[in-house]
Amino acid sequence: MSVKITDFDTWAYVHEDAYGGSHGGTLDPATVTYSHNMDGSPNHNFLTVPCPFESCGSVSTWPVGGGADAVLGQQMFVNKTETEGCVCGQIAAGRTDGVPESHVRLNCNRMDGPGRWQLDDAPAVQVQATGRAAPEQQAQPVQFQAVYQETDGLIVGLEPAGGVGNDLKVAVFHDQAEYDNLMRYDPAYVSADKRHIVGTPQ
Amino acid sequence: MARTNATNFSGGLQFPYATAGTDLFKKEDVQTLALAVDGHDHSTGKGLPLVAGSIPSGTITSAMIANGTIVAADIATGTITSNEIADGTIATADLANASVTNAKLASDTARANQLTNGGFEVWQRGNGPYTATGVYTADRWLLTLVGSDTLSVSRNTANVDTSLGSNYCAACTFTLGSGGGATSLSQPLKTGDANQLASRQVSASVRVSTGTASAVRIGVHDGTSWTYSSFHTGTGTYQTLTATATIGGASTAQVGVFFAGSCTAYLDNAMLVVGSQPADYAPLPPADDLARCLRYYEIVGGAGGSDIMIRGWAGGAGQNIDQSFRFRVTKPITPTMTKVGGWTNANTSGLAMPSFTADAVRVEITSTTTGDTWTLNSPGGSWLTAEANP
Repeated sequence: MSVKITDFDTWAYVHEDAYGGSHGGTLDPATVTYSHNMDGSPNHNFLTVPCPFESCGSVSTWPVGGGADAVLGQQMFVNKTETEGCVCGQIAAGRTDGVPESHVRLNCNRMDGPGRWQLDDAPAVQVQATGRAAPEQQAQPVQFQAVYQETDGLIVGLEPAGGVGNDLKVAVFHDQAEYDNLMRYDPAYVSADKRHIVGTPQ
Repeated sequence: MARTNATNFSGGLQFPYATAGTDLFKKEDVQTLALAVDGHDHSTGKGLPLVAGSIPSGTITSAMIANGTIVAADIATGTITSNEIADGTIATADLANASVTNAKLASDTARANQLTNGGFEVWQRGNGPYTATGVYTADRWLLTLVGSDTLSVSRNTANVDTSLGSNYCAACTFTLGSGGGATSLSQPLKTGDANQLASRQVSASVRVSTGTASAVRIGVHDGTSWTYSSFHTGTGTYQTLTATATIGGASTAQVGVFFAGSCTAYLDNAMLVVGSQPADYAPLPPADDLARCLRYYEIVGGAGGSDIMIRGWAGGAGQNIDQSFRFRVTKPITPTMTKVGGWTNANTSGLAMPSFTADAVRVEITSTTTGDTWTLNSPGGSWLTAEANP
């Protein structure tokens, strides 16, 4: 089993299948860090969690989709984004509205498809899915909300669960093709007429 | 004078008789009548034929019926029961094609198991004991604690279901707190994992042994609620607990073993099959059993270590040396990767896994100075794991 944080108030963790026997305790949240791209820039899709247990030496790298534990894994990314902002620069630190979660949700969908989001009970996005999408959503009508920057149309989040502030807007789309564009383009932008999702700012 | 001939006798037996008192009496008539009576057997010309009413009920025996003369039309519809059919005499040719339904199958009719690691044979994470909630124990079997209950799960060889050739079982030591019977060891089969059980009737069976009555039962979750089996009766021997439910549309199916009373129980040989009839456990070949498990959990590197090495020459500090490993089985979602144990490093602070997908992982070491740069999964107990739980 992976090194897993089970309580984000106390930063309790468990490492149940550690070599030599299970252990757990609390860890320093500062040790949970983003991994890096080939060019050295941080990658907001992966967080590393080193096991602090003496002489264990194990390090788990969690994907934004949640990997070994969808709920706790996704929650870890949301907490990290709320506290520190996202290393991609799109989300500022200390933001507690619906934007950090929508940002993580967008990254989750891009990684593992629309059926993966499990942080709340609602489906990630009601789309006719492709790839590894959840079959339960394949028959659903296409409808999703994208959070974008008004200045350049950059989409920073998906399906916000709360407010998005004055600096961001929400666009509603009803087209499978637009959802596919959102998954295809990273970064993705809302077109000038607010009706399409494109790969370059307009 | 009037005379007439008998109509039910013919030939030499057809006797005349008078129809009026003035008719002439002849002795020859009496002789003919005597012959007719003597030859009277109800055949044609020898008297009236027999009718059904002439035969008392229940007097015709099989000796009166010629062999091979009873035809299907002589038998009333729906009257032949199994008592009239000798055991072991129905042949395949007697059955209409495509006519045997699932409901007619006995539990020993082997069917495809929808569960992964139903036999509790594969324990890639180790033998336990596992005690924390939300952790996987045997591959794909999730421990869920409710309230103040405690449950310890570990691999066991001494109490396996030997009647079915098992190698390992799950030993469960349970202490009831405030869980109210909801603490479980379960296996979800999510539609998001491409399972295709929605809207299907499924039947689960699990072999359970415990010496405590009314402490352990199994259930099938249909996406909304659980359908439970009866409780184990506490005989201390293995019993097969079964439950059947129809999975809701677009719903995740789940099989669970529930603990409602403090006990030690052994779980083995679980099956989930499509249809109304539970099936006895049918083992997979070991390679197939492991291959199913590898979809969700995979170890890169052997327990003895020293078989995974990333090595290269660095021209200076801060240079990255990367290598990719393709998983043996594609995962359902992007996994969590774990570097387990303390690897042996030279000219690097250690291995990182900066990027991975459901198919492969890229591992990386970064040099601290110029020179030979490597990391090795040594000593034993050092490897990589990929854990993907949809």
